[in-house]
Amino acid sequence: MLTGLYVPKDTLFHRLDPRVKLLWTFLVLVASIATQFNCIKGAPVFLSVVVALALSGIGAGFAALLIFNMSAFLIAVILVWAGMYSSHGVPVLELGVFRLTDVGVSVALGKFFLIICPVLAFAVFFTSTKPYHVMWTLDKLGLPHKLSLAFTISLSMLPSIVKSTREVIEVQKTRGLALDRGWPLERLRKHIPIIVPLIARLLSDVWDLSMVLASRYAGYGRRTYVFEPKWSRGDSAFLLLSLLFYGGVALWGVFPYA
Amino acid sequence: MKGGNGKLSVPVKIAAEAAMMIALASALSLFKVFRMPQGGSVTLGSMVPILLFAMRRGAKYGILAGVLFGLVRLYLGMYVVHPVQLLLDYPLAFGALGLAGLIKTGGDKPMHTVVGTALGIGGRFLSHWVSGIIFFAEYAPAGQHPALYSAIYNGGYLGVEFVISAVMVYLLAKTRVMKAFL
Repeated sequence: MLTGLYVPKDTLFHRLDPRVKLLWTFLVLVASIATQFNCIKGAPVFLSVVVALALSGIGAGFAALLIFNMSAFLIAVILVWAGMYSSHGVPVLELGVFRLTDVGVSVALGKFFLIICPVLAFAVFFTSTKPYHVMWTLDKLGLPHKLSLAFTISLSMLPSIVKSTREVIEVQKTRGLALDRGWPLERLRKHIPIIVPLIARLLSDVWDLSMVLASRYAGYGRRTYVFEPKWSRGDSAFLLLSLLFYGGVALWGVFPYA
Repeated sequence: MKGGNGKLSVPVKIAAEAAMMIALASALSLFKVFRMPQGGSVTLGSMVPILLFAMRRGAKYGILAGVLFGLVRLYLGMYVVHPVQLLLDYPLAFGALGLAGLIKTGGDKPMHTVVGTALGIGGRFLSHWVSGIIFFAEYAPAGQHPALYSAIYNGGYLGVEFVISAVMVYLLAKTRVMKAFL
């Protein structure tokens, strides 16, 4: 659960202008798409994102959670993609009916990098950018203020709503609701007592939230910001380096014989 | 609630409601009920908040909330092979959920809400279906047309999602939960 977890620290990524970080995130996305068919070309993008994650000061707990989730995801991806390409290439491992080939591993790693790199880049962006500055960045990009407000609030509230959902599930389980038993339709029916209290609880909070927003003058004219990030030489240098690195990797990925 | 000049209080409330519904939809999307055999996960009615919001506030606000929900989903776990596929599978597909707002019910007419749900999820299906034909044709089994493959893949989990969502919005409309709280 990564969303909304801004970690207040003083790292390289925290000091960067949010617009630069957002551009960097999109460069990672572009480079990941361009190198998706070759794991060797995708590896530098993955390594750069891991370094960025370490530099963004996410903390040991968050890092351990990420490593665990990434490992589980990597195993799942290898099982799926290696299975699809088991008749292509040279076998590197055979366990009964399971056959792992070099082509299968290459494709699986390529897909792993394609999926994981943009997710980690967005995690770097959100863990190192205050929600206030996320909204400022979206405003600067030309998004209508109420949309950037809704987007930022929803991201900030996500961890607490996930927690509420878990609480409701636990409460219903203690009341005898067995969610993991029965036929699919029966299991679906059992989930209704979870979603109805959640929606009811959140709807009752909408009124409070709109009162808070109205009291803070949200929606009345143009929004101004007291603390606006300033674009520095460091931001320009970071952006230039990122453009060169990810642009180069993307070109390497697009041209098969490069 | 009338505040300040009395004109902008409703949009602020709509923005607050949209934020809540997007957050709830995103949270529910993290809880998978089960995985379909051919791929695709069935979530815990993750589209219900957006569908209800669209039916309460109309298609315009519904589509905007859907697009934002698509952007949050993009962040929570994306699978992007091409920029156009990104647009088709995230902002456009989830924005299409707002089509439910073409049936503006206020959230208290059970059968109308089911029709709205069908419109919204149907719109999302169309967007994923087109994306599947263009970008994922290579995964179609030998001899199967990509259009059929994409329809089976996307129709499978979205069909189950439709059943879950339709039952939930029907019950919510029948019990008038929306009217009680808003």
